[in-house]
Amino acid sequence: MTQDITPEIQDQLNLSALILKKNYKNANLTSWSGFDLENDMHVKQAKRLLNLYGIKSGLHLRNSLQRYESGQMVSHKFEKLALEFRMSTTTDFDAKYNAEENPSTKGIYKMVWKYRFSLKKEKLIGYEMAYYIFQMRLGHVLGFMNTDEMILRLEEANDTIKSTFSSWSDFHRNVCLGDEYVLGVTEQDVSKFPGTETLWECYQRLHIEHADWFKTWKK
Amino acid sequence: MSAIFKEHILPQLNTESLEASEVKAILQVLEVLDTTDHDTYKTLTNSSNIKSVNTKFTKNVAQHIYFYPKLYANEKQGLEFVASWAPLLEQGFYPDEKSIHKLVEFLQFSLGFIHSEHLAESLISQFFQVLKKLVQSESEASLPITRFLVNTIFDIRDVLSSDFLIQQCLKHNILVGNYSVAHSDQTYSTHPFKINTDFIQHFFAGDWFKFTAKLHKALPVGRVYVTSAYDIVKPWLSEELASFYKDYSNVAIMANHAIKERLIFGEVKSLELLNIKTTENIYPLIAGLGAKVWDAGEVLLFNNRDKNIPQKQLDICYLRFINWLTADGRSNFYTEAFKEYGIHILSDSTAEALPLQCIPFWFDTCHPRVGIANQTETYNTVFSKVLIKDCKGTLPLMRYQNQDFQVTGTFLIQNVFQTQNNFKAWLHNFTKAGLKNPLNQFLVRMFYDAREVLAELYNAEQQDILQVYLLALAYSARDTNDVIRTQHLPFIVKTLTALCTEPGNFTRVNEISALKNIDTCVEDLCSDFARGHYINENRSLDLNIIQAWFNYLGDFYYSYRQEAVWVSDMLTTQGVRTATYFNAIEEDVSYFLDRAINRIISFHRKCKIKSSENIAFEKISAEMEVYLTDFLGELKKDKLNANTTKYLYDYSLSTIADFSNKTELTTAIEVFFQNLFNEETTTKTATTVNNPLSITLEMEVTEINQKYVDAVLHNLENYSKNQNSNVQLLQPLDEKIEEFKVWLLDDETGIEARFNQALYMALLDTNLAPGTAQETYGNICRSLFVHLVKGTKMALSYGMGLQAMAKSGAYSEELTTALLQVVDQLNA
Repeated sequence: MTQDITPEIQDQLNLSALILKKNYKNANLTSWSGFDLENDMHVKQAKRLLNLYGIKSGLHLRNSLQRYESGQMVSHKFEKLALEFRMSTTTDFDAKYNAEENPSTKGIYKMVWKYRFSLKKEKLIGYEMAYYIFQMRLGHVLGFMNTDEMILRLEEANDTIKSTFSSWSDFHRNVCLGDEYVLGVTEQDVSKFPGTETLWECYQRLHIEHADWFKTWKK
Repeated sequence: MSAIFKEHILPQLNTESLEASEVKAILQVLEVLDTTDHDTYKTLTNSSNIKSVNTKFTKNVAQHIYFYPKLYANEKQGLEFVASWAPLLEQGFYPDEKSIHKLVEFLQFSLGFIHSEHLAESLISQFFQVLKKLVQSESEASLPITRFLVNTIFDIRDVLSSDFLIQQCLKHNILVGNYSVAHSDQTYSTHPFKINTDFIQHFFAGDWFKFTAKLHKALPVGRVYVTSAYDIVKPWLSEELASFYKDYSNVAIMANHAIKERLIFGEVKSLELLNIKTTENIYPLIAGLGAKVWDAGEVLLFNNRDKNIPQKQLDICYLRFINWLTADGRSNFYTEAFKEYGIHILSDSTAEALPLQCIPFWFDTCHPRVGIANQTETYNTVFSKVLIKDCKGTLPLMRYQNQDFQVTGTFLIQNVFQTQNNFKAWLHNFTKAGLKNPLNQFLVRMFYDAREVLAELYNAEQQDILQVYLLALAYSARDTNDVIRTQHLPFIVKTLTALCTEPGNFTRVNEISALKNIDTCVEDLCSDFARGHYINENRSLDLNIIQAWFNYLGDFYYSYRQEAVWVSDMLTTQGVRTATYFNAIEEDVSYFLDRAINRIISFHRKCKIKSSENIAFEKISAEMEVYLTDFLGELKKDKLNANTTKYLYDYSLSTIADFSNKTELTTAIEVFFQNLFNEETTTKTATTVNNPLSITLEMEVTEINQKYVDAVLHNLENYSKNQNSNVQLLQPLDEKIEEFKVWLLDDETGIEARFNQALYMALLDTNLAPGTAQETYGNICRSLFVHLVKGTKMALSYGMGLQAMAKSGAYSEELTTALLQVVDQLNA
């Protein structure tokens, strides 16, 4: 049995809108999963994404959710580095940065350095919780999680996010930073593969299409 | 009819040499022929000496009646002459040997005429009726005529004649029943038309080989869709012939060859001959099939085998068949023989009839990587039906070494597949094909059947490979139909359960128990499996397991008790065991226990808050209470640290917890709290004495200085330990707050942050809540906190923190209101 989506639940689901849109352009943001369960192509896409995250069953899904919820996915690593950088001087940092050869690690260093103080409390929780909700929605496509459980989990995810951030833009900035941390810096690139969008592009589109969703930060 | 008699014979009839008795016989013949009006008859009747004698039909008389070679000169006349014998034969007047030899000669030379000219159908019919009577008569005539007929129907040199004769014999049923043989003593013996020693003696000079050679030659000859010599021979087939074939297998092979040719050229099966059997129920020609390497012909023949042949005689043939299928790079698959007949041999058989060798054949041919792609579908269809769908148990009963053989997983692994050396690569090829491939279904059954001994058959590494393979197959079950899935998934899970027994590998345990999402048919199996690993009283506990227990509280709660169902058992049965475990540990486990208790309490709180929404939450909280009661009742009192105890105690008093009627639980918590209190009183004196910063009540505070601030801070940070919430000490600070703020501006030691944090903690302390004895101290703290924090960059985060705490539901109504007031003041 699928429950109705109340405005309150919609607001909670919207916390994953940006990530969902980035991963699946055709997603229907006003449905539980974002995917049309009747449409084979939609389901196939969801399966592909689940496969990408290694989620083969409800148990895999819940384990993955726990990792996002507890910060094991991103925040712990971010915080560890940030803690180190908070105690470093600019010289220390430059030395470490220059010694690193891997460009993506360099990117991460640069980013963590920049946000080492400002994200001391938030870390990348916004990004992680957005993913938490997104994966629940994905799992729902294959019946790994029913809507009852989603409601229960959404409520708590919502509490976490709403108490950590003070506005939609604050939260979305964190999601974008998390994305950048995980995937590396994405720049506007005209030569990119057609059909792929950067999170920034999704963000803009989302704010045009559903402007009223992201105005009030309902606690 | 008698016209030819009157015209040609009577005039020549010379009775002078005859004796009286013979004359009398002639008279009878004439009567029978209805020629009494003829002169000869009258003359003879008048002879005086016949009345007193007996009639005697001698050889001599017979020759007078039947021996007229000149009549045969004209074929038509000869034919009519013989045809006219019918009434005489009926009366028992049979030709003698000499006349019969003449007739046989006539037949030999004139058969061509008889079937080529357009003679009246009635005449031919009469003629053959006469032959039939001769054959079946007890007379000298029987054997020569029969011998002629038998020889001619097997004579393939003049096909037209022999075919004509065959058709006539069949039409008039000439070569059925009995024939007779005259002996020298004038007696006769009758013999049935059955192929036995007598028969061979009479017609083939006692030479069985001659007979079989003739028979085999004649078999393929004849017109298509028309009866042939075989149809005459068919009723003659006998067990003696079967015995002969049994004794001479090379002849049996020749027979098979002839039957094959007959099948190919005449398109008729020779089932009766092919399935000929001896009295001992041995089928020599079927055995003959097994004696040589097969070609397409044998496939055709074997497809026509009798259904009652004992399996033991067929085994070798099935093996030959498999060899034929394998030969020449399996190209026989594409022959007509296979498509029309061979496939039936497989599909019409049950597993009980097929040899075990089918299994390697099937696997080799349909192998996902090196098999032959365009044969795969056919064989998979056939074998999956025979070896999987129709199979009553897990694995089929088949034939092996001429015995019924129950195929077992162990036997297959050890003797058929023998892949212990390259197990990984071998399984790898199958993995990709998924469970929808029948080979994998069979392998799953094989491993399931051998599950108890897999640990002996494979080393640890291979067992791991096998587990990975089975897991992959389980997921591929999603692409199959319901029947296959519900049949094989339980096999997979049970095999994995048998394989995965080593404790500790919880990643694998989780992977296996996660299979329950694939189909409801394995839900219980998976849950039992997980329970077996997570709650196994035969194994010693360790921190990892206990940590897992508490981790899975989340899944259990969020899924309304649908996931990690074993958590329910864990909560209701493992409390005492957990406590015993911790009691035995000497190191400090208070940190671990603090987190564990925090987690369980946080879920208990969630359940209580939502208990009205769903019955599941009520159950979960009840189960958690059972756990806590068992656990805390057993746990040594020094295992929890002060914070945990206090947290627990506070929670137990809160309305949300609703422990009011859980006496046992509240008592247990009480004991911990009491214990803590006692400890503190004993150490209190020491702390006070040793504290250099303690300040007496009489101390006069005139200005804000380092010493005073340190004292206040110390009191704020330690009041709960010392049970000394010093209002007098704090009061002056509240009065001189502006002065204090200025003082703080000059401070470089970061005391402000410590101050704020200490105040914040005091705010959240339920012992300082409005309505308690130390309310004043709490009020001052709140006031100080607002003054100090408001307007700073930390105001926002403290505000949010307080708000979150206020809303957490852990606090009494008064304190919640007080905290929210602080927040409002901060934000104002």
